[in-house]
Amino acid sequence: MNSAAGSKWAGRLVAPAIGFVVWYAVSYGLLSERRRFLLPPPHRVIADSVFNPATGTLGLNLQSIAIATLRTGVVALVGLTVAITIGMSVALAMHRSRLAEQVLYPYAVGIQVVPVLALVPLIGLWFNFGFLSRVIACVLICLFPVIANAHFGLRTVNQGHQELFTLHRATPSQRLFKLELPAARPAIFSGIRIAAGGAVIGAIVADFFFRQGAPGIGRLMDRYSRDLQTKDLIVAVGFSVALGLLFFAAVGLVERLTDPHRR
Amino acid sequence: MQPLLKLSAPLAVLLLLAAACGSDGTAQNASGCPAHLVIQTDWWPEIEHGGAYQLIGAGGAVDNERFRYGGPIQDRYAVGGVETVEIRTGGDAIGGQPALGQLLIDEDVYIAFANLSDVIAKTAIDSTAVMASLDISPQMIQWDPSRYSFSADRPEELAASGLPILYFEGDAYMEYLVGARIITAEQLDPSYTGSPDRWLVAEGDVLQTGFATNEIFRYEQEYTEWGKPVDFLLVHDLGFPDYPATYAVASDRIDSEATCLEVLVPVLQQAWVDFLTEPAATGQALIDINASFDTYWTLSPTLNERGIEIMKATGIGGNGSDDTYGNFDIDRVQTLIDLAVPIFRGRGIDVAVDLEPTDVVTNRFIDPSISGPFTQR
Repeated sequence: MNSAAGSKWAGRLVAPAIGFVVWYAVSYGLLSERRRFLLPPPHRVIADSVFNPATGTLGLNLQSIAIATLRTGVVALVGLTVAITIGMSVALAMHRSRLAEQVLYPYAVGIQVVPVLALVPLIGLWFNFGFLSRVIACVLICLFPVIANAHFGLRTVNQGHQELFTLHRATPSQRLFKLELPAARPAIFSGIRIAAGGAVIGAIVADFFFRQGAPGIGRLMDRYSRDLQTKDLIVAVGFSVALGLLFFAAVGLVERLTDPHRR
Repeated sequence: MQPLLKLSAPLAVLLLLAAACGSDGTAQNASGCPAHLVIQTDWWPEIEHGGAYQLIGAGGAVDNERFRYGGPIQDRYAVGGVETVEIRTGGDAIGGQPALGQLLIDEDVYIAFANLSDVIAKTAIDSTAVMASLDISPQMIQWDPSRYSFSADRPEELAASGLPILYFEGDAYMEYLVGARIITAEQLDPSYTGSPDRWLVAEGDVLQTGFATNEIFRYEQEYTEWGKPVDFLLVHDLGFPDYPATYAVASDRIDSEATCLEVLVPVLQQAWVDFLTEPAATGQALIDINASFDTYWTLSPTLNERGIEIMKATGIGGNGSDDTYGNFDIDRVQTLIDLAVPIFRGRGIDVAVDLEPTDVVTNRFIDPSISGPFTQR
């Protein structure tokens, strides 16, 4: 390993190391033994809620947390897929028709500015308190970034290239697939990346309110909080963060794999 | 400069946590009790907390910022050097966190309200209940009597009805009802928010949980869109004998604070007996405190009166199996432990399998001569 690579790895290790030092400092330095349940030290969280090397046993709730995270991930994935489908359709319609833009854009902005939490009671009453409502909450949170970024990308295609396509009498579909979508691709993926994070947040928030059916990770976190199971709560938060990172990374991977200039 | 900036964020977190975790401690006087007695309840002010507010009566001051009510302790309850009492609202006022946690988070809190099942479940907080503020839990299941008829003699008919049951997730009783096949897993709907909207949308074609001392009156009188009687069964009568809103203290204080608890607990019993005997004055204080807080939670004289009537009729505010108000029936506590421990272990909570009643309750400080006004169930 050369010195540059070593320095890079050292840099990557510094941030988590500082995090653990701060964590231990708070657990043992700031909290008395009576209050240490507020932030148990990392090794206790791992031994009691993840894996105990001394007994060779997994945390009692580890499996529940993993399965609940998977359920929330499914909601987020369905929500993101629906949001991308609707968002791209709306963006293309607004790009093609000035009338469609005038009609649809205020709705898109409206969805963005209305706090989803304010809509929760209505969504529940209209669509019940199960999977469908969780997906709808998710879509509401992540729809606008898809529409706004795709619309921006399509609108800012190089004018010279547009004129070149006009000169060659390109059909609308040729113009769309050979010029506009490829040119708007970075902006579209930028929107989807923002939406991916929003989808996970939306699915977790929806878990708290739409509780019918098997629990997702949000509902489990609420339960652990109310039962003062701080160690399980910390592990559940860790799984939620991992889910968000997974979505973010997956969008990046899809972007790279579909890049026409990829080598 | 950059490393300094990077360090500033965790340092800020440390400082915030230090501030949040700091505590003045509890100033104690020579008699062993805190001069300023802090009680953490588990909900907005209501008659189910009446005996605690009775310590102050109508002469206290409302803190609308922090949802607290405090003032000098009434002369007749002033023992052990307690001079003032502060009652802190729980539930939404503390972000839905259990009141029990406040025993350790803020050491000023001397007593916290907790269902006995929560004392058993919250293994992170080693606490002991020193008094039962009510003998029977007001937790109930309600239905529309014009459509259905259920009784404690035929509990299985609740399951057979197939009706969805709306409830708040977390309390152990629902897992008991499912385990006892009184309710099926398919009926469970934990999305209940406390609003009557779903009952109204379903036109009463559901089962719903709540407090017999509160919701029954609200549905009959306050929710005019419904405005009809509802019938109910207490969860207690379905076989889950939880003690509601016990007065819990940190277990490591049981011996160290024995001098105080010996004089304080009988006064807490007496305050409850006095409230149940003459509830009007403190009941009005509860109404006024909620009006001052200006939240969704409101009380009225008629709601309070009906609640007290139900406390009397059902034994919720009764003496229990003997003539003493506020003590624990140890056999009943054992029954509760036998039912609740497997439920909590099923949730992945590491509750001791050999838990004893004396691990979670004590009658040590109870004055057996103090008897409540509602002797018959």
